[in-house]
Amino acid sequence: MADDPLVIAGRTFGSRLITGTGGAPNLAVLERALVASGTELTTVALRRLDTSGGTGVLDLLRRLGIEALPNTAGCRTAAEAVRTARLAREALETSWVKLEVIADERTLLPDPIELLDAAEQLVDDGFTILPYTNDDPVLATKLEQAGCAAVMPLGSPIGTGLGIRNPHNLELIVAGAGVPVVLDAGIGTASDAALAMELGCDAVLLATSVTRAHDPERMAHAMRLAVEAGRHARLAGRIPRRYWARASSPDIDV
Amino acid sequence: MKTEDPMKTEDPMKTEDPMKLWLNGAEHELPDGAVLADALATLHVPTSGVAVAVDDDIVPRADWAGYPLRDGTRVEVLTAVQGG
Repeated sequence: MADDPLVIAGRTFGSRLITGTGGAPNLAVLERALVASGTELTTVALRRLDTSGGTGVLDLLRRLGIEALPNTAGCRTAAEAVRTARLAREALETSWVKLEVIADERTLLPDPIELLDAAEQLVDDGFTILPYTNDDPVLATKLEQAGCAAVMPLGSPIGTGLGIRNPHNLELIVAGAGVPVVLDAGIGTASDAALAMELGCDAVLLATSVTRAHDPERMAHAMRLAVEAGRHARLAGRIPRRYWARASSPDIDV
Repeated sequence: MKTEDPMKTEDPMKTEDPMKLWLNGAEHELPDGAVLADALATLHVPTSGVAVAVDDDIVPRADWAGYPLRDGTRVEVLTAVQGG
């Protein structure tokens, strides 16, 4: 959608679909999925260098012209997340970070206290912060006030594919946000991505629903179409919901 | 290990023993006086796409060649992998 770009922190993206790279069985499958998704921004994690594995995913993203967005996945405290963000800045030469601070391994839900603390520290240090957050309008506002470049509420917990469990909260976040809102986590299938956009999100971030689909390339294509369809529907303005039927054919002289 | 060498008892820093390092969790030995760049060379660390931490310090690429190491230092080398 060249005439309707996504703008985050002054940077313009033609695609409103941000992808993750986790979960793909191999780089060849990932490559086909990334191309089919049309994404221009995709997340990577930071881990110990495996000298046999090298830097394969970075080379792939460079070759495809896709921007790498490092995350702080696995961090449980603000201190860990700040350190990981600084390592990511050094490794990838970017000040953009998807900030994740997870409370526990079973739910992978964000720890709001540590998240906000980390966001404040990293914004002060010059980072462009995209925080993965709960679907909490109050927290979203606080993250924006801390200087985050976007807010990225979950639809449901990471990897569950449960879709958007609280659409009204998302609408409240969208209504209150002055920065882009990116639905991050919980997408199961294309209709979930379309719904996120219809609710007014500026973009969708997803990984598992594509990388662990039976056919990742085809699901990536479906997600691309869903995000575009949802965006068009949002801008077009949906009809109000009515209690009783209303004929769509003329009701004169049959 | 006891030594009878009088030089060593006078100056314990001036040892010929190799130093032991932890590189990404694995023990390595390097000659005394080795710098960070030497340690990274043993792992064939690429010069881009990685970040290096020595104990609690993140060491920028430009400082690798001049960064001294000590016995027992932990060196972590990180890179981007599939995730998120």
